[in-house]
Amino acid sequence: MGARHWGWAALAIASSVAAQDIAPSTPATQAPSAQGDVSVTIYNNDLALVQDVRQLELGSGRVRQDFPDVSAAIRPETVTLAVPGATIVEQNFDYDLLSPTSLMEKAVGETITLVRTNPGTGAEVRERAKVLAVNGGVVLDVGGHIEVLRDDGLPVRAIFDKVPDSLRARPTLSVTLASTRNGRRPATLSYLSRQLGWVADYVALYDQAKGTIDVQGWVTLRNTTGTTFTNARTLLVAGDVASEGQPNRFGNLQPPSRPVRAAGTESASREQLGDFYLYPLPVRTTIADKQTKQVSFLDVKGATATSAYEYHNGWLATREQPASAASTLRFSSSRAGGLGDALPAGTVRVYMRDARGQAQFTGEATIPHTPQGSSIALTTGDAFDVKVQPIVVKRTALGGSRFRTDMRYVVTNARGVPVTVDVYQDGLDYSFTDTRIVAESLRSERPESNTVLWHVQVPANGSTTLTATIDTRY
Amino acid sequence: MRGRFAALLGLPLVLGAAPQESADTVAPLVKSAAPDEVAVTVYRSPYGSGAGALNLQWLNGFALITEMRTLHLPAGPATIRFEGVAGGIVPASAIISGLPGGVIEKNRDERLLSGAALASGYLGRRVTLTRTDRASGRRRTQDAAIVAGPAGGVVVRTPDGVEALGCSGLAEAPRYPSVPADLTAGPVLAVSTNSSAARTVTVTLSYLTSEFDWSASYVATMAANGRTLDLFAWLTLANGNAESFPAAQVQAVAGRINHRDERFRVFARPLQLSCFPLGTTTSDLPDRTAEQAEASEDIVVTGMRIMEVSMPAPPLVEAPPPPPPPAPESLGDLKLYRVPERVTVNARGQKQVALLARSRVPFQRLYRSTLSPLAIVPMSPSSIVLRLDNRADAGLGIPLPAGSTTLYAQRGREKLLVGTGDLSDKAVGETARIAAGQSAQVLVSQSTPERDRGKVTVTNANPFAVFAEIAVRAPPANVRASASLVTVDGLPTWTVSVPANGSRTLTYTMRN
Repeated sequence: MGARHWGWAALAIASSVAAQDIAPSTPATQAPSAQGDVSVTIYNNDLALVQDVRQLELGSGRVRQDFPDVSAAIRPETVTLAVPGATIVEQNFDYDLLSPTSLMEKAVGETITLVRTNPGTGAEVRERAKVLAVNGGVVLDVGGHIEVLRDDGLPVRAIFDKVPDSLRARPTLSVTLASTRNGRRPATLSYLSRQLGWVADYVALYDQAKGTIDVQGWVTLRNTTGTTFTNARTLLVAGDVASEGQPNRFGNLQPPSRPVRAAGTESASREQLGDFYLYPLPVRTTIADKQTKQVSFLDVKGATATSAYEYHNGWLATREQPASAASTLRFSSSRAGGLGDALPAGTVRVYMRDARGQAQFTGEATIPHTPQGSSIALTTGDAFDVKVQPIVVKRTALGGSRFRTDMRYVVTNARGVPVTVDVYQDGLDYSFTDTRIVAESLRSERPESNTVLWHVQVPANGSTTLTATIDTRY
Repeated sequence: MRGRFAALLGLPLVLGAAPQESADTVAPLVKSAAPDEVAVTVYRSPYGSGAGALNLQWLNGFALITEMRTLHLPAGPATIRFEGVAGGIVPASAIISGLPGGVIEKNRDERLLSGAALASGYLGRRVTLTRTDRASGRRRTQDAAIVAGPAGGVVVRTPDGVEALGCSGLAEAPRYPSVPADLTAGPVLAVSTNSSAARTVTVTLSYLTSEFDWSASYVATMAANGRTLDLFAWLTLANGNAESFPAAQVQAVAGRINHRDERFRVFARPLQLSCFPLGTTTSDLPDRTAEQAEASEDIVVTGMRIMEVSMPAPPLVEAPPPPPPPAPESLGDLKLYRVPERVTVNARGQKQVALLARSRVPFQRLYRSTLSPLAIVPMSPSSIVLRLDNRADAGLGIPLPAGSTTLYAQRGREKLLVGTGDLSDKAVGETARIAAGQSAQVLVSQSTPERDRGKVTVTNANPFAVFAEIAVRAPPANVRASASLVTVDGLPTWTVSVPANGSRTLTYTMRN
């Protein structure tokens, strides 16, 4: 199929047949593709490996072979071609595309036909003209006179005898082969392409009353290469193939809210390639240009989940208005009670049912590549009804660089159920290590030297006041 | 200039022929033109205060659209095309439930029908080229094949040879026999499924779309007695998409939620017919009347009628008659406000419905000022606020979403605007303050008679006593004052009643 289509494209583009001889138009969904048996392996960071096996009719000796319909976002330095009984002499990736300008520039020194139309009568006069130069305008030699094309503004059709062989309608890879024999054989073309990448998208339906989530995972791939990959075997690889120190166009996708709280140590029951998980699509698919395609890869029902509240206060911060605590959804990717799978990087969109049972969106968060067995906390937004007002009550200079700070945190809950708010006071230490909590109304934890954490329980429709006295430098 | 005479060419489209299916499309196509029923839940922008007017050209919120659609599915594999989805759809957010055969894959194509897309779709195929004689109007057609384009210009092959389209100065345009099957008028979501039997099903399609936003606009009207006010709020929602949602069940969600703005709005690029260089003998001269004369062909005259605008008096915001809308329900940690009746959300339109209404809410009128400790402050106006307790026993007790406030006072039978301001999200139990303007009658000043001693003076030129709240931006326990201070909003605050045409003074020191 590839060879026939290629031949057709060559006929339409490169040969000089008259219009009557053009093959009858068959409006298909897209222009015929010259691709053969295509396999696409797509990585997360805007990178794809395309393998295209085309059946070629090759002669013997030095032959030039064109490969139209390669990705327009091809990285030409990564092209490899394997043809039985042939070796590559050279390969070129031609960007010199056919356009009115390139057509005229390539016609310098050639003879073209001018058709002048009399604007009053419509009468046509044909003349042959030689193109002398194309520098901002077109200078012609018409029967020994030199003139500029359309200098008088009157209609003139410039008709070229043929399209130069070097101009292509679409980006084309051309290869010169040293072939040892005649005949038809498969040629395996492989290259890397940009502008074809994928992420995961998760739909999490959270049932607060039951404390469960149903999670569907979708791989979302997006093709902006300018090329359609027809009927392709598709494999998605979760992982970053850019090694440390190598430029990675997107940098590390590290969301600020740190959704993974404890990295898992379980292995997912998926195919692995080294440290990467592989997600093959079950059937061949056509990845059209400018298309976003989604295929399901995960469907888990009834995993355990809880909601929680967190508030981080900066050092010496007084809020004149109470601020909403962050609303977080916590669950695990472990086999027992969790999602039971490794989660490729992407966006988790959380939904809850309203009073009428309709699913409503309640926020989203991004996760990095997350191993199975991890505990995950997604910050989906702010809690309307749970707020914290931190107040610096007193600052006492203790001499030297030491200060004592009295803090008060008023935690309010307008919900009809009791809640627990994790109040973090950050910025305690910086580089010093002699910060002390002198007094506190609730036992604290010290997850980090720089941060102290209180689990504050707040009754339904009530408030809890937490106080703490902290000795610090500065 | 000259080269651009035909740079933009509106291509006539021949749409009569039905779109034809590709031979390799195995699965039959099921089209779903429009939903039977639609629900729209509007979320506000995650950024900004939520107050102020919506910019209809740049809406930063989003919406969840939930549609019920009836489909007639054939047995076996089929591709379902959901047409009429919002242009701002986030394709990755689409959820389809109710398909008996499940969803094999979801596709969102962004190839919209346009002049450029037609030229691209007919690359290498035959079209009809029509040239019209400008003098006689006579048309001549010619078979042609598009051999390159549309980026950088279109090159066609005719029986005469190879030509660039739109460069000759003749009136010429290609005509196409039909629309390629993969081009659509609007955004389309396509889903492939495999049903075990032919049947009619109702599916639910939901997706997020950008180009929506909403805001709350509070209108408070003070009663003549100066003790209570009637509080009313408009829910203003705007849709920047080109699609309408008729008879929709509309909800609005309050509270800040995380959402990354992903605008997938599709721009169908116009066909740009670039030509080969068409500089002439005179085109590089700086001043050419001849060219100007010719250039006038290009000039598009946008006429504008000067309208006689009789300035109507700005409409007074009357207390509107609709029934008080239901109190919001909790949706996780958010608040969901329902519009009680089905309404139509128009394309590129803004709509206002009642959000909440409460009458005779008692308030306290305060004159507020916040001072930096020990700073010299000359006589400065104080801010008048009406303090409301958001509690049921104080006449309110309803979650108040962030928005702008407008305060009116009654003067006889007229209303007067007395203050405009903002309100942040206020949960039940919190205190809300409605701005009522600045007072040049109640002035606050601060001086430092000694290095670490501050002196605050508040004067009242009104013939009535006022209640003032003057806060010092310092830790409450570090301030020792001549009167006892209370902590309001985390700041040590002097609350004082200032007699009619009188003044009050406070001195304080700072200690560490």
